[in-house]
Order: sequence, then structure tokens, then C-alpha cells
Amino acid sequence: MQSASSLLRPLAAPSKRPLTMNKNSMSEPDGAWAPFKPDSQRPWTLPLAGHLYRRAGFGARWDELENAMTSGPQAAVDGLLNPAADVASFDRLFDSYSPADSESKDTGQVLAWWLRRMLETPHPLRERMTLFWHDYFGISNIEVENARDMQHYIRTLRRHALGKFPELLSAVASEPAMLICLHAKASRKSKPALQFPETLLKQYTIGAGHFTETDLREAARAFAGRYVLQHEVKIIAEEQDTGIKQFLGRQGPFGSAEVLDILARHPATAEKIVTRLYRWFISEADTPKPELLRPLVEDFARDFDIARLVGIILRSNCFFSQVAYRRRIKSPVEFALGILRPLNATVATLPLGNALAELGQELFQPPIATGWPCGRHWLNTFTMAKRIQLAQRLLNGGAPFNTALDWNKVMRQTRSADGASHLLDLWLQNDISTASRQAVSRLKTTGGKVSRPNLADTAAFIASLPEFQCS
Amino acid sequence: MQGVIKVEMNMKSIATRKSVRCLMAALAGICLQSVVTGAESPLPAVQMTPAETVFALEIARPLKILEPLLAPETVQAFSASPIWARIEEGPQFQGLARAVGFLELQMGTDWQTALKKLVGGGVTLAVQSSRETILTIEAQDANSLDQFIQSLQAFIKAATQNNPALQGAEQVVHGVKMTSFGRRAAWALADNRLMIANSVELMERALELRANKGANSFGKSAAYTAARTAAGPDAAAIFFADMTTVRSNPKLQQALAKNLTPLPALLVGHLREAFKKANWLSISLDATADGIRIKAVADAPASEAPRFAVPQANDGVLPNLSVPGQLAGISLYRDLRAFYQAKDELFPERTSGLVFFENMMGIFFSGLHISEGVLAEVDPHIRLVAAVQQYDPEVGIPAIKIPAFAAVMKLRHPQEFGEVVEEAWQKAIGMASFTRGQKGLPGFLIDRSTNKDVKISVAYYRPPKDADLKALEPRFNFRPTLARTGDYVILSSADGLARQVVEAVKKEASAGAKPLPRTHTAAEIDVNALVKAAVSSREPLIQRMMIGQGRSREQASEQLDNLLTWLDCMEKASLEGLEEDGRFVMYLTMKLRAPDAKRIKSPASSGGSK
Amino acid sequence: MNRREFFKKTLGASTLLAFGCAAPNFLLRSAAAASPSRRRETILVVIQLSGGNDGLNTVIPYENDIYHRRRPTLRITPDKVLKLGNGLGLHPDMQGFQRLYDEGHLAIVQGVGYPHNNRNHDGAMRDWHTAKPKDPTATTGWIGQALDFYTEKNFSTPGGVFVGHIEPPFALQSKKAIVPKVQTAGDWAPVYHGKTADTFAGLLEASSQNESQDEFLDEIRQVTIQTLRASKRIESIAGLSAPDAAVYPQYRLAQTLRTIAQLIRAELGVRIFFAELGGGGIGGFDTHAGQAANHGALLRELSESVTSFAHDLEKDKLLECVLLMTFSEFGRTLTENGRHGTNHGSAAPLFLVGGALKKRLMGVHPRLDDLEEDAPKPHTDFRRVYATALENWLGIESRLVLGESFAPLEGLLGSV
Repeated sequence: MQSASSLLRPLAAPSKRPLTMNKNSMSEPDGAWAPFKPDSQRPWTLPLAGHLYRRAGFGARWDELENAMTSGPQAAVDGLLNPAADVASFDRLFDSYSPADSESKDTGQVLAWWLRRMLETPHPLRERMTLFWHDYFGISNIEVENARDMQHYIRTLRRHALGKFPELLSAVASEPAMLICLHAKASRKSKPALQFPETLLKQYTIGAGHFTETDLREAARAFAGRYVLQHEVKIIAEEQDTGIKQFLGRQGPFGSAEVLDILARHPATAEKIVTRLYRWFISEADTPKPELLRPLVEDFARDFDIARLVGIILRSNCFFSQVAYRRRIKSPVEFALGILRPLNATVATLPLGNALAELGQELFQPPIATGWPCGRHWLNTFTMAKRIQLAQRLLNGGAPFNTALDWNKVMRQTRSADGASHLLDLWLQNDISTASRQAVSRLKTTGGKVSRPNLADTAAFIASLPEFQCS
Repeated sequence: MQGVIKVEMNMKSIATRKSVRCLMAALAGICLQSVVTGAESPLPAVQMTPAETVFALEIARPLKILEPLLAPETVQAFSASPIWARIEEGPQFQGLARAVGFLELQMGTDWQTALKKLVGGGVTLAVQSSRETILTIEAQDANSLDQFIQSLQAFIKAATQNNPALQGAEQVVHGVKMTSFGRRAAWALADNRLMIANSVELMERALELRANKGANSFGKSAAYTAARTAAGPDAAAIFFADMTTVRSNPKLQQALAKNLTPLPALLVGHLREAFKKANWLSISLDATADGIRIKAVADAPASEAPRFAVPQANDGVLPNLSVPGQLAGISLYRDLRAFYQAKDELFPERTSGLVFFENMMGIFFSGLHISEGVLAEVDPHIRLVAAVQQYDPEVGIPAIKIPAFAAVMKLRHPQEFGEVVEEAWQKAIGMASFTRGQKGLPGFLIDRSTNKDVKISVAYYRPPKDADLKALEPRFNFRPTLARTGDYVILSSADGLARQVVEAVKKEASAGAKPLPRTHTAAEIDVNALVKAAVSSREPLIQRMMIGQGRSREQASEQLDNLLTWLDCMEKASLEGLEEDGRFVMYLTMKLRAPDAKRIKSPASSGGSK
Repeated sequence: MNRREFFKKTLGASTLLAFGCAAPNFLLRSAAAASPSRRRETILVVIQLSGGNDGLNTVIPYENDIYHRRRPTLRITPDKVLKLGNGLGLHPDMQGFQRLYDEGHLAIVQGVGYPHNNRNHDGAMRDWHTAKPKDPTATTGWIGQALDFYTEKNFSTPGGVFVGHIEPPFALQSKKAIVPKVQTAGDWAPVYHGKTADTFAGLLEASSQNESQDEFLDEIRQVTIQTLRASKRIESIAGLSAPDAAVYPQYRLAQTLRTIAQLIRAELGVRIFFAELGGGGIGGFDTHAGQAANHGALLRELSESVTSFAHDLEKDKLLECVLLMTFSEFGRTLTENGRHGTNHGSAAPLFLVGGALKKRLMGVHPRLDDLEEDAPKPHTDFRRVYATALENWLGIESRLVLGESFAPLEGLLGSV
């Protein structure tokens, strides 16, 4: 069960940063993205393992942390990119649950099943990427108003989440949900819908400054003839514009497929995606310099393979350095799952969906086309209060979440008899400030309402620490 | 059945509660006492409690309840059920089993007989507004109590040997030896009875009342006497609540002050008004061959309640209809016009639902005033039916099956107003189709047919081509139907049910329908059918429990089985609300039976042919 | 006892729980006149009346013959009307509003609407929510947009809050700001009780002074400290056993406004509150049939709830910092239909309630002899009212929010 204890305890004192990366190596972009090979200067520590699982999954169970410590960072990343478990049958099982009602706009049940999936999946990285693309495209049920369309859309995202971007873009652009959300339900030859192509160019691919008004109009022409009828995207031949179009310096009788391909394979698109992924996986605290990202952009622009790009990022020196460590804030989904998944807890996900909406992240309703702002925007005096309340309600069991959590089993994982210490190891790898540590230990003595707080209360308190809000 | 489980479960948790360690201590002292038997017939326990009692539970005939519950067949059936298996696995069960075994050995009989002997004379619990409580247990005869005490003797002796603090202080109060532990616990033995109280003062008062033959006691108060009479002489148990005191609770006040919305106001508005004025509330329990009957009486004059729900003279609801596959039926007596005219008092807050309803009525019944022209045309005898649907395989069977609902109303002027209703219905269907069309959803086709004296209009969805006829979308559960026959108008969510209701109505008309006098509401639930329907929809229910309660699949399945087992104990239930002796009275009758695992496990055949 | 003393008594003089959080540096324009005493922030309360309020029976031109002729059963006769002067009167169920008018705390803006109102519930309401009638593809609401600007400078306090039980309206849809939805003040608090909160906050303060200079983590600490303080403030305010069962009537809107008053007192930094009457969607004001009783009941609920709110705030001298505004997606037709109701119209009056109003009546009543599809024509664009609230009251440049420049109503509010 336990390997050499030296591997499990950080070599540095808890309050120090676990891995320093001096500024010089940061100015070498190639060095930044080279695979991380631990040595005596920069050892492989528990905090780094925890960091990996927080970013690439929803937090690690204790056995996952232990395995990661023995196998090393590269093997751990391998396991996250290509899990050994039978993901296919898990997918089949969950896809069979809860067929969404095609006439209802209530996404409550579909959302509940997605949260359950995130909690139990053997492939959490793919769910993280599905969330990434959900945020990236910003398609919201406020406009779509249909549970079945949203479910279909998310399944498409999941299928291509770690695939190739041109295929993802092509699939998503034919989703009824996207067309309805961007007011492109009926795109006529005489009056093609404009919001969809505009969003496509500005937000999803090349970005403002890389196209002109003409390009936009021509793109709109290429998408004419697409209608959403009875939950499907259909092409109406007589509404299609088959003429020659001038688009981004090229000329030809482009249809929607060609335009999408041109956009998907454009270098500016690669830059946009890499920048978004940097913010998603590395840091929300600072803006990366273009030179730093250039190697990634060039590599990605070769064939737009998302899995490879994600792999490079997760394996890199940059990822395992102080540039990335605890430089993100957990989104509400990460916050809740970061409490539950490491403890192997099951929860009623139907009310959890509503609770996450109160924290500011209503899945299926991101801000349209721009996605959630993330970072410091997640935290204000209201959402922080709600986070603490949610942690208390999740960990104390009872209605409405009915958290099924076996504390004995949790404690059996460790030789330590002190529940608080184990939780600090499990969730925060014991890397907290002295003040936070004092607060936790004082909780045991003064308490507040109860003189002997149980493990659930302590856990809820740990989940309200500033360190826990960091990803 | 349920009572037994509750007793056993409570005994499990009781063992750990601090307050009952006092009880154990009290019983400890009993062993060292001899029983005092009274020469005359003893005073009823309620006459030994103060007049200011707020809550009283008097189980005057425990055997009436215990006999059927403890009957061998029942016990056996329960032991075979999965719920019992679960209890047996519980950690505290072993301790409990040993205690029961010990009791049996000492009493020399099985535990069922022992229990009957111990409490057979009656159990009374009385609570004061200060939360002081007194519990009186009367054994069937003196010997039983004696036996019980002796059987505990050895057990308690060992427990208290090391703890002299558990021996209490003794004193004689009004001729009875009372043992007290501080001010917060006391017990006494008098007249075959064991009395336990959580306050010494209360015990002293009780004994004083006993000495004064119950003068000025709760049992002799007008309120209690009236409640007892209202409950009837056969009641096995009565619960009494002093409403004037209970209503001073701020939370209850807030709840009663809250504005009702129209639908609850229609169903129970008149009862709520009575409840607000009632002096007392009594709930009594009786066990008959038909099952358990619970009667609730609120002491408030029914004549002061809003008139829309009170039948005139000997009028009342019509008996519930009966159709194949019926799940539930409600029969109401509601004068809709009077209800609408009283809306300002009943639901002063205007909800958007009400406004929308009035708008729609204005459109559908164009030119007619909603209360004088429309609601006044509807006779107060209204009935609702819910039934499991039988689907035609050629038309298609939905993947998720939803029961059908029907409303049966009588018109005062069926010839003229019947046509008006048809027109309104067609407008409603047309509007629904149009609105659906605006959203790109399929609309309805309407079929109208006349067969002798029955006119039926059915609105239905065209089945889409290439659809799997065995797993259609949920909307195919709905085929809105309007049927007219004689004086009746039937609005239903499915034509199958509408036709069956027409048959039932015609049969009733030929046999002569007799209203239940003075009854304003009568509801029936066929729990057996409900369980069958749930069994056939296991999968969606399990999935819903997985996300709604965070269970794993196995847990959800087990939980569903447990729930169905409990429901299976009930065959059917019926509720009647009527006016009796100037008060509002509710009867709840439940027919019970032993649960059968086979009924729950085996999925009923789905759909079924016509 | 004023509020300062009250806080001192209940919360103690601990520096951790000092009175109020830092005043948000909110004003984007530099036009604010700074005064020596500490200025309270201004607060906007918006109440949506869902369904299309019949302005003609709310602010009644009772001296106009046309009104009486076209509404044979629905008209309010001059003897019943609550007279305001200028030939205008309020619906008889709005006695509370008459009182506020006499006190100078109520202003009526007449003839508000916008050209080419499509008179469709969803469409018109969306136009009022986005303030961009010509742009059906707008992705944010006007308040959401304003809050996005607010968030740039004050990301740790939510600038706007929705108080109610329906789906938050599109007006609050934002790109960045998270807008809380609250039903009672207790939804926001409490977080930790008594000593735990103090211990925790104290330790966080200490650590932010002593430990590593990680700004990122520090920001999170600051938000946590502010959350604990805010939570304690709300707890103490909401815990005040209110003898106000008499002050606030039983209506749902009244309870909503009571919650808003509590949140205002707690000084959480919230600048905009949003409430709703009518149930959202095709709301209760959509009186196509049987208008008389229903409309009266709704107006009574509005009038009594808002009046009790105003008087509650006045007790603590807070009314001068608050501006309340009602709006509805359209007015209704002049002629009554055959069902004793009215159909969808266009222009309608809008109410403003507050302690800093300088005028009581803005604009003239629209002409009843010059109608557009049977409804009075609007002469004041509703975005001018928004601009007034944004620029003259909250201090936000309205052009950034509304997309175009709209002149605020002159003389209605003093300068901020």
C-alpha cells in the first residue's frame, strides 16, 4: 500500500513552492514544453501529483496519488490520456441512461447524468475536455430551449474532445443546438444568417483582425441553405448559394464544409486554441507571451491533433512549474467534484446541478459564444459563501445531496489516525500556509457550535480554505 | 404491521437514548416494589391528567390493534419480506433479539402474548404546553404486571448494582408510592398501572387528581368529552390536540396566514378556514374487518365555512366511478360559481396562472361571463379518474407509459351548453396545435364520431413514419378527448379511458346514482394497481432515484423494492370528507394485507392488448 | 439608536468586522461630486411587471371623454379615482402610491415605450431586457452589461442581485459578472457561526500580512475575508426580530422587497436589485378578460408592497440612496374588448420611487385621439429612462451599456 514514505512527503517545507523554475528557463520556449524529467533540483513530489490530477481530472483518490508517486509523471500522464479501464462499456452504459425528452427545455436530468458521469468516469481527462469545448463554443440552452438538442450536442463534443479540431468543428457546426443558439435556424440564399458565421470567425476560429467584412459575407453565403427541421440540420438545395466565393484570399465554389475546413486549419485558429488551452491547463493568472506559445502553435498547426497538444502541455516543464502550480481557480464543477471524487463519494446529482448554478456555473448555459470568464470572476462574496455552504451540505450528508461517503474507508487508506491530516494530504497534499494550518488545528479545539467537530465539519472547513479554491 | 415495525425500530434506537436510561432506572426501582391493586374500578388515565393538556394520545383498546398486527400469518409474511432481512442484518438487532428472548423466557409465553398482556389494558400519553409528559401503561391484569416486573428483576439488579445513583427517592403522594429522580423523572404504580412522567410536579398532580376522582381533570373537560363522543365508542385509540394552544405556535400561524393559490383553495380551502377556528382536533383509530379506519374531527362550525364546498340538504358527492386499470378516483362536490365569487377571500394574491386561465376562458367561451355564463353551468358533482392505459399495438406503444386522466362533469343544460363546450374544446386543441406549430412541433388531428347518444371527439398525433411502434415518444400518451353522453361531459387525456368512463357513467345512470349524503370529498386509491404500474416502470424509476438521491444502481433497486413492499401492504385506501353533527369530519380507510415478494419482483407484462 | 451604534453593539468593535466593506471605486466617469462626509452608494431597484400593465387604468386621464367612451365597463369613474392633479389620477387600489406621491417620493414618467413595439410578450420583454430592439441577436441584458463594467473594478462584490423565485430574467444576463439569485436574506448567510468565523477571518488576515507574496492566493484570501464579514452583517440584520409583520403586508412582492431592504442595510456593495411581479412570462398583468378585479388586485399588491418598502427604508434614512423603477413590456389598448379586458398596446407610464426625486410628473399623457393600432403612442423612449438611472443615478456611462446615446430625463434626479 505505501511505498517509501520519502516519496510521499514533500522534500521542501510545506509553505515553500514545490518546484522553482527560474526565469531563464521560461524564456526558452522549447525548454518550457519539453517533457518534465524529475531530478534532485526539481523532484517529483506529492503536490505536483495532486496538481496533475486536479488539472487533468477532478482530483485524485489516494491510491491514484500513490501510484503516481511510484510511476512518475510521464506514466501518470499516459494513464490520464489513455486509461487502462474499459471506457467504451462505461460510455455505452451512461449513454443509455435518461434519454432526453425531445419536447422539454428542462435540462435538469441530462445535467444530472453528466455530473454523475464526471464523478464516475474512468477517463476524467476526456470529461475535462468536453467541459473545455462546452465553454469554448458557448452554446446556451437559453436560446436552444431543448434538452434533447443540448444532450446531442454535448455527446458530439465528447466524441471529438480529444480528436482532431477540424472534425470537431465540422461536427459541431452541424449541431441543431449551435444553429438555434446562433439564430441560424433558417439560412436563406437571399438573406443568409449572419450571427453564426460571425461568431464562427470571430470567436471560434481565426478571430477579429484576420478577416474582412467581405470574408464574413462570403462565409455567410457558403452557409446558406442550412435549415434546422425536426431536430436535424438539413440542406435545402434551392436555398444553397453555389456561386464562386472569395474567402480569405482563396476563391472557389465553397460550401459549408470547405469554409469550415479552411477556418479550422488556419494558423490563427491554432493560436486561439492554444491560448485558450494555456488558460485552461496552465494559468489564469498571467497572459503568456506569444513566444512562449509559438512551439505549441506550430506543432498543433501541423494536423490539429488535440490529444497530442494536450499531452505536450500536461507532460511539460511548464506545467509542473510554479508558472502553473495553483495559478487557476476551480470552477464550481471542479470545486464540487474536487471534494467528492477523491473521497469516492456518490451524490444526488440532480440537486447538485442547481447548486452549481448558484455558484455561478449553470452547465448548458454558458455566456453565449464567449463561455465562462473563469479566473477571479468565479469568486465574489456571494459565490464564496455559497461554496462554503455547498461544502458543508455535501460533506454532512443528509438532504438534499444524500452524499454516500464512507469515512472509515477513507481513513483506512492511510496509516495516519488523524482525519484532518489525511484530508489535507488528499486534497491539498499538505501544501498550505501556516495560517490555514493553524486554523484547521484550532477548529479542533474551539470548534464553534460543537466542541468536538467530526470529520465532516473539518473537511468542510478545509474546503473553504483559500488554497482549496485554487486548482 | 406497520405498528410493530415502528415499535421494534424504536426500541432499537431507544436503547441509546439518554432519556430512556431514566426509564430503565425507573423500571429498576419497580422490581423492588410490590404492586398495589385498587379495590374499585380504576379511574380512566385521562382523568388523571390536568385540564390544560395540549396533546393526548389515548390507546383505550390496544388489543384491537395488536391482535391483527401480531397474528401469526402477518408475522410470518413479514419475516419473509426483504425489509425484515435488512433489519436482521442491522448491528443492534442481535441485542434486541436477545432482550426479547429473555422476556419470553421470563414471562413464560411468546413475545406477542407478553406484549398483549403488558399493555392490554390501555396506554395513555399526555403532553402539557410546558413539554411535561406523563405516560400511563395499564396491563391486562395484575398478574401480568407482576410477572413483567419480576422478569426484569434480575436484569436490572445487575445493571444498577454498580450505580447507586440510579436508585431514586421514594415518597408517598396521595396514598401512592412515588419514586423520583431529581425533578425530571418520576414513576408510580397504581391500580394495575405503571405511570411514568418526566416531571415530578406533573406526577404529583396526576396522583392528586386520582385521589380527587378526576375532578377538574382533562378527562372530564368539555372539549375531551366532545372529542370522545365524536370519535365514537369503538375507537381503539384517540389523539387529541388543543388547537387554541397549538395555533399560538408562530410557525403554524405563518403557514395558516399564507395566501393559497386557486387549486389548493378549491380542494381544501373550506377545511382550512374551519381549521383556523377549531377549538380542538381529534384523530381516532379503529381496526375493522375492512382494515384500519382513521377519523379526524375538527371542532369548528361547518356552517361558518365557505359555502362552495358544502352540499345542500342531503346532497353530496356521487360515488366514485370504477373503470378497468383504475389507479385513483376523486369525487367532489364543488359549486364552481360560488367558489369563483369567493376568490377574493380565498386567494387574494393574483397568480399569473389564474389570469391566464381567465384569458383562455374568455377566448374559448367567447361572449360568456366566466362565472355566470360558464362556471354556473357546471353542476357541483365533479369526478376525476386516473387509470393505467391500455395501448393499441397498431397505433403504437410509448416507451415511457403515463397514466390517463379524465374529468367527469354534469351540465345543467346539456343541450345548449354541451355545444358550447365542444366549441371551446376545439378552440383549445386548435390553439395548442398552432402554438406547437410555431415551435416546429407536430400538432393534432381531430376525429369526431357519434354513436347512438354518445359524441366523442379525439385529438391525436400522427405517428411519424419510420417510428418504432413499440417505443414511441412520451407525447403519444396523450390523445385529448371530449365525450358527451346524456347530462355528462367527459374530458380525458386518452380516448380509451374516455370510452370506459362513458360506459361506467351509463351503467350508473341506469342503476340510479345516489349521492353520499353530506359528503364533500371522496377519494379512492387502488394501491395495488399503483404498485403494479410502478413495477412495470422499474427502470425509469430506478434511474430517477439514482440521480435524485445519489444511489448506486443496486441501492436504488433495493430502495425501490423496500418502498414497494411497504406499499404492497396496502391494498387500497379511501378518504371521505363530510359534514357530521355540524363539524367537518374526515375518514381515511386503509385495507391492509401481508406483502408478497412475488408481486413486487415480477414485472407485469408491459402494454397489454386491448 | 442609529445604525452605527447598532453595529457596534451587536458586532463589537473588532477590526475584523468593521462597518461596511471598502466602498467600491465604481464611478467610471469622473463627474462625481465628492463630498466630505462618507457618501452612501446609490442603489437601483427594478421591478418587472410581467404581462403588459394597462397604463390607462393605472394613471387615469379621468377628464378625457374618449377614455370613458371607449371603456364602458372598465373605466374608472372620476369619483373613484385618486386624484393627482393635471387631470390625472391613480387607480383606486393604489392608495399607497398616492401617499408616496404626496410625500414627493413618487414620480410618474408618462408615455414610455419605443417605436415599432411588436406587442408580443417574448419579443417585447426581450427588447426591454436587452435595450436593443433592433438587434434580435443580443447576448446580454442591459443590467448584465452594466454589471460587466462594474465587475472590472469590483470583482469581489456582486453588483446586482435578483430576488425572486422565477428564472432570472434576461436583463441580468451578463458575460462576466455572476448575478446571485436569492429568495430570502438567509440564502446569502450565515457561513460560519460565532467564534469559528472570527478565528478563520483573523488567521486569514494574519497570513495575508505575513506570508509569501502570492498575489493570486492573496486575492482569494481577501474575498474570503470579505465573505465572512458580509455573512456576519447579513446574519445580524436578518436576525433582527422585526416587529414589521405590520409593516410589510403578506404579499409575495412585499416579502421580496423586505429581503431587498435587508440586503441594502447589510451594505454588501450591491448596486442593482431586480424583482418581479406577475409571475414572469405571460404574466398576471396580461388582462385580456375580466380585467377589473385582477388588475386591481395586482396594483394593490404593487402599491402596498412598494409603499411599505419605502417607509421601511425611510426609517433608517436610506430612501435617499434608493431609486426604484417599475416597467412592463407594453401597455394596453384603449378600447376594451368583448371580454371586459384589453389587448396588447404600446405606451404606458412608468413609476419611479425614491428619496432623491426632484420632479413628480414627467411628460404629458399621450393623446387619446391619435392612436396607433388602438393604443396610445409612446413619446419617451424607455432607454432614456435607463440612461437616467445609469448615468444620473449609478454613474455608469449609458452609451457603453445601451449601444447608443440616449439623453437622460432632465431635472428628474439631482446630480450624483
